[in-house]
Amino acid sequence: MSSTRASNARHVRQRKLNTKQPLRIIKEDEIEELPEDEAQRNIPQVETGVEKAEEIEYHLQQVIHSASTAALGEKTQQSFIPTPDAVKAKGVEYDKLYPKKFTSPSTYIRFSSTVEESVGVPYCMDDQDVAILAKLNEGKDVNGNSRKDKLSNCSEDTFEEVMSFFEETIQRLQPFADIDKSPVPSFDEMEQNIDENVSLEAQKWLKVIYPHWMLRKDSKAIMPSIKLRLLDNTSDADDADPYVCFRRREVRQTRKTRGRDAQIVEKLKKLRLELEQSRQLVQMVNQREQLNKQSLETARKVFESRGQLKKVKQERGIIGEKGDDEELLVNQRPAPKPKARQSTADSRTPTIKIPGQQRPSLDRQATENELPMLEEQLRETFDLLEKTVDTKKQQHLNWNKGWEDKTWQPITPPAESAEERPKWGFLPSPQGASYPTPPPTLPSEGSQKDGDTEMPDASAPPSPPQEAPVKAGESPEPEFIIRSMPGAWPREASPFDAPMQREPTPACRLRRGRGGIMHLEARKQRQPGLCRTVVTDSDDSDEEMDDWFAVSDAKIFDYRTALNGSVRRPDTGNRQSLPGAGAPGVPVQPQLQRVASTGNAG
Amino acid sequence: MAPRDNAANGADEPKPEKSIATLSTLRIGVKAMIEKDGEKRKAEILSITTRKGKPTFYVHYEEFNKRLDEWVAPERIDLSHEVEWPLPEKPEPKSKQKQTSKTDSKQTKVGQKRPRAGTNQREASGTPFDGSAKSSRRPSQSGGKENRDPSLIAVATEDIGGTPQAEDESTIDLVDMQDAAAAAKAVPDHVPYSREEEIEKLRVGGSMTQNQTEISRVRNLETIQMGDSEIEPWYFSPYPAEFTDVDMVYICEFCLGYYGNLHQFTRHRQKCQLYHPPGNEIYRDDNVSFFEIDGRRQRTWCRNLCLLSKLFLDHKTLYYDVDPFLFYCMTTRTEHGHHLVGYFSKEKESAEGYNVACILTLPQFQRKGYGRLLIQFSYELSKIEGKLGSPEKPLSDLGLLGYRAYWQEVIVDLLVDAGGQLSVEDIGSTLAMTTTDVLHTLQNLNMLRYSNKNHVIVLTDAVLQQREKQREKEKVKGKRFIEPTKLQWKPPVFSAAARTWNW
Repeated sequence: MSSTRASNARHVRQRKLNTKQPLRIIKEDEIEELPEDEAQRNIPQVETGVEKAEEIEYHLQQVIHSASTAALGEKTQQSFIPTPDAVKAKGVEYDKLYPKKFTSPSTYIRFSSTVEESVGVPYCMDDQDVAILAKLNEGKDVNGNSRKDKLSNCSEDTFEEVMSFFEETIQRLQPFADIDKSPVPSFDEMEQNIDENVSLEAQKWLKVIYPHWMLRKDSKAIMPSIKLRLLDNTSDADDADPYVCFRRREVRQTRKTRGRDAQIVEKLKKLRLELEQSRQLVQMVNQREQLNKQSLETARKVFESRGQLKKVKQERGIIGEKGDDEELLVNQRPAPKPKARQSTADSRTPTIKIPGQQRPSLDRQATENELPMLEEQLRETFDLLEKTVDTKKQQHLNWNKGWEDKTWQPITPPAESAEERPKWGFLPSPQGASYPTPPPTLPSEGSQKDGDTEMPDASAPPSPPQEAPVKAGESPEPEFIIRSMPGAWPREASPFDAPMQREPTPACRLRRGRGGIMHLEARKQRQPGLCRTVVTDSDDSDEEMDDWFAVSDAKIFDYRTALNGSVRRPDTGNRQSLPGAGAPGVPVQPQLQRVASTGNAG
Repeated sequence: MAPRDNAANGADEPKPEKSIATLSTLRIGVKAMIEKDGEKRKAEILSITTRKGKPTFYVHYEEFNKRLDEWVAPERIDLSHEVEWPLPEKPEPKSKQKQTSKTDSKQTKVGQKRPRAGTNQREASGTPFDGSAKSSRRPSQSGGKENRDPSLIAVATEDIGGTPQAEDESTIDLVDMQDAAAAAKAVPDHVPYSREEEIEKLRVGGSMTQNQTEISRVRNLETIQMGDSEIEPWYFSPYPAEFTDVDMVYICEFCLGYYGNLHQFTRHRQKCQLYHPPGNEIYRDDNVSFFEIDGRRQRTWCRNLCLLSKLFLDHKTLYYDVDPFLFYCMTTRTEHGHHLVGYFSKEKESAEGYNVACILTLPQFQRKGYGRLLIQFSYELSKIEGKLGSPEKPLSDLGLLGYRAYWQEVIVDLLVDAGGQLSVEDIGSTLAMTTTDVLHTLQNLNMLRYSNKNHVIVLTDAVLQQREKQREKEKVKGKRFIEPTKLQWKPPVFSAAARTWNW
């Protein structure tokens, strides 16, 4: 066939066939006669796609030939390629082997379990095993002697599970057993590898079946398996072995560079961190649930005990002062609830606030607990605190008299006075050493509102509050920085100021920005804290931007509060020597806690 | 049938030695006349074993497909006729050529798993192509060219050893294969293709066609039982070597697990919970369903499938793992479950634009029109992908016929419907076929003609007649076809990691 094609692929020039060009589709009778059948010329010869060597095979040639003659319109006999037989198997109990259990779902099947997950225990018993199992179940051991153990019958499933365990374990222990001929592990060694995957039933039978497995065991697995190339075995011997199949395709090496390594390390670290975090999360969730459970249990116990108590009271006719049923039902002791709320409130607010409603509750507690001593003490303390706060407020008012705080409301600057004020100048340093320091009543999450109301100027009705006219000399270091260390108070200096003292006093100016917004700006200095601030709204002062930058609101606030605090210093001497009074917020806290705890104890 | 004339390969080549042989001097590599279906055919002895005290010979009939290779009793060997002795190893390489070029006819395929490379080899030179498959790693002691065919290699080994292996060889076993394969490496490196290149191509190209070292020309399984059918394997497949000794290998119809022992198999069936291929059903009509299975996710099942299909596909290679392939499995439904009828595999990403790697209808379902369904389905997938597809080469003989029939049918139908004008590329894009395949078909049917100084497509009377006949047949028997509307499928997308991390 190919030879005929080759022979007429000569002379007569024809245009090459263009596959993009539409070709007319005609019937045979529409063809304009050509001298002979030269049509095939210049049409690229197409390979059949069959191996050249196979192409010449007898049966294929026969079929191709008959097809091609048929294509030419001649009658030919239908021929086919003979193949080995496939017949219905005899004696197969198909319905038994493949029970009719399948019902087709109405939708297309979606399925992702693997074979391993679907076939159960991989080991299947063969005839030898069946014989042995029969022996075992007759009460004999593998060698035919009667068994001494008290095990009853071993099911096929159990037997297979045991064998699977042995096979899998040895595969794990000695993956190269067929090469290095390592000795079969003893039963004790095997026993060490029992894990939770081995059912209890199977564990009972391990020892009994082990000798049988030992006997059957040679270097290969009992269930024949295909030869997979071991990962680290790159010897050439495998290459030639036709039974070795499904080799892993090597992954193309990516170029190893330091950068990539670093990247990978980063990724791994991140992964590790995330895993760790999720682990902790889970752990904590677990903890929480445990606690929840405990508390539920406790609550239940309490409830039951109360029920019992009620019964007892009824039986014994114990009736409280009021003498009504209420007494039987309601807990007589101080309600735990307000206590709990109070203590949480305390823990949340590091600074003091003495809301009005707290006192009565404390008082009530105190009376109810019949601990007059403590109660008195507490009352004293609170009175003292209140007094202190009041005096402080008064002091603030006094200090601020005649001063106007320009930084307090930068958004609405005073209309005319801005012109008269100096463009810029050094802000007086609070003793130079202490700027910036934490405010005396730094509002924390829980108490922001309260903190604000406690500002000394709160009582002066019209805001903005006035800025304290501090001269360098009279602004001592505020003591509030020790807020968090009430026990250490009072102190001359706290370790916390040390780093801050190094910061030079910034030169500041007030600048009126666009829309009349006033900005407090500091002269550029190497102060990281200040430099962080982003300047917005700077169209009108491009050239100045190099030298000036806005002071962050936080700084302003800090500074102001620092000033406020510092002026207070002279007063300390006048105060009662009660510890904690100087920094109103702080020292009270432990006391409150103590109150709370005493309440609990009561 | 007479052996093919090798005149083309050069008459000056020395002919193999011929003489009368006796039963006891027969050895592997000898070519003798053997009776087959009432005629004498030249066949090569590939293996000799002793059964019931008598030597039995595994022979390959020249110019017949390997699937017809078989064990024959000594009586069928015509010893009155001269036999051809295998060529000795030592003599100058040239002397080999005669023999190799003959055996070539069946063996070149081995070296030619790379179709393009292989096709012109023979024409290009008289040099046997087989050398191609040799390893360049180990220079041959002989320096001569070798056939990469195990049987011949076995001969070579034997010659080196100087001992005829014939009678005393009781089994063809693994050792044989390994010897053969080892010998296969003992080849010079001045070959068109080294083994490394081969394997590299396999690895990079993801091809599933046959690899040189895997040729094991002696079938290793006697019979398999699958479902309610008993099937004779056609080719070697690397099932566990232990199965060589068993009469029947039992294959579970659903998980495709393999068991050499009936009791084991029965036990397995009691435990097996699969009722269909372990993937998503993407097509269902009244007759068949298709499942899409990712080789990476269902490694065991796909390996089992490949082992099974290797029994019937000569050119399939199991050298590398199944990860880069998707398997589209066609099943029929009964109350027992989904019975696997056939499948085709497809590379997740084919550099060469193949839409099918291997395709097989299981023998018990052959000649029932299922092959056409598989082929059509593969093109339906290509249509959705918007790609032109073509089956990976080389095709087997049956594959070629199956595809030709399908191509003819769809092209003729299209042409009849279209009328007027169509370019070859139009046809291709309508049918998701490559231009080459369209040309191939048209040409093969003598439909491309030259008329009035232009190329035309001729719907020949013969073609129309055939179509008519086929239609009548379909009316009687019913026609199986895929209904594209019932296909619920989107081309799967794989991340870079999924493609490269193969383990």
